[in-house]
Amino acid sequence: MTVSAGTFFLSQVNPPRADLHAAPGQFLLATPPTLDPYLPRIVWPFHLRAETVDSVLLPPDATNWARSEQLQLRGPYGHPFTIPDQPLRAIVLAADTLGGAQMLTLIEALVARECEVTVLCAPDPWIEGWLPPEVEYREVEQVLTASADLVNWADRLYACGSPALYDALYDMAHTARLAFAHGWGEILCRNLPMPCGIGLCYLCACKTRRGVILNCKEGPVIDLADWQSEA
Amino acid sequence: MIELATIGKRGLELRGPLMLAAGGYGNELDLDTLEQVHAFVTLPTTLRPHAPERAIPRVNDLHGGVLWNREGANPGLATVLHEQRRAWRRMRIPLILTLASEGVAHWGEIAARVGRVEAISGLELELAEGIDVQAATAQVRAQTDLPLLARIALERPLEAAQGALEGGADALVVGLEPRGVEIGAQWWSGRLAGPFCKPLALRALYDVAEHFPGTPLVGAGGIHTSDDVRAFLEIGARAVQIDTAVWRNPKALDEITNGLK
Repeated sequence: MTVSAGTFFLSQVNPPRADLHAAPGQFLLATPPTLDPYLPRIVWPFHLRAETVDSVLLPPDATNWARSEQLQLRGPYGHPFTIPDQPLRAIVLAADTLGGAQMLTLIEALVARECEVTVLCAPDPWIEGWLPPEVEYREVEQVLTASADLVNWADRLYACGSPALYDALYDMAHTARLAFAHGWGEILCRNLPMPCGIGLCYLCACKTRRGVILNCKEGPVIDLADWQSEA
Repeated sequence: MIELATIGKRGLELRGPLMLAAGGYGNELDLDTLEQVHAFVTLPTTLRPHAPERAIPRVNDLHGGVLWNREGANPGLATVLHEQRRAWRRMRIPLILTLASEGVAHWGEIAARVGRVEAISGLELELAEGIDVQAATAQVRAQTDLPLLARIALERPLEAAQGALEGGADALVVGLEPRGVEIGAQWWSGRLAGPFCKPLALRALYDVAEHFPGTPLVGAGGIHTSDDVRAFLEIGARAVQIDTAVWRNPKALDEITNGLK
């Protein structure tokens, strides 16, 4: 079964895959049995309240084939979000319309660690419906133009969304905290195709402030302090 | 044994026809893969690190294949040698270092440096369209007696083959994927890879085999199955390169090897 999930589509994995257990921020590669599409596609594990991967988030362009195909899933791949060892009192998660659904597994992991989580998100009833009751939800019409006051009190910041969102967060953090430290903010990096998934083919190489990284291996989660705008 | 070159101390001989090609598999092979292939061709490398200009998608799905553009991204020769030298030394199959077309001006310098690297059995020259094939090959030949494989473009392959052989290439890889453009929300240009390249590659290989009999030829382009391998060998290739098939299907090598038994 596949249902709409914000800008993604949520599809059940049948049977659930215990071997694919992934940390928030890691991705899977899905290959259909036919040659169209040719490349494996990135899908995001979605296993709320379950030990096994029982669902995946599909990108919108995958739904024309993924609904009816027997997908081969492999992974997990990539560098995940860092979950704090100790409960933190002020964690802010920011997402725009692109990234909301990808944050839900992270939110659950943080809540399980007894962190106090505030979500700043563009309006999205689907995401709101999944949020645990412990989470404070602030609907922000435009996360990009939100005031730095919304994030500069956070002990830690996580973000999922568009490059424009990361540009805005980087600028906010830089302005409010002058030179903010590594480890304060993490972002789910660029949405690039990652054909091999393990840092071999170099097709997902991208620039950051610490040099060129391979998005599939050294990302997709990177430190906000390393974000390099392309605007 | 399959002979691709007789030059230098060792020449270049393969125990079988399967080469894992530049780009699909990076710079290092895992042990399971090593047992299935007969030569390994590295990611295209430039003398200095080459960073992509923008973090745009560099691979675009089409019906039956992809359009890709790595923009020459690679960590540079010094990093590659530093990171891989030890692993390469353990390989018991020939390792061929690919020189990326983006760094053609420095090919002679690279050739001189890697001539002393024992693990490297040969060089593959990525002779993209627009490069003076004969001059580029000759500048490498002047610096090394390593076997040279010239990877020529599928577009006008006979001219490129002639230039490469005159420049001193020992074998020809036919070939470098054809260029393409996709027009959508924005223009997107790159090289085509995947099953839809196979007829183009077979045609070019056939022509080159006809015109240059006796030249060691390596087929490349759209090879995904053991039947594809047989087709390339039948029309004149001594070996074949498998590339994006391993993106599409990580078990492609298993399936090809089993199919050839």
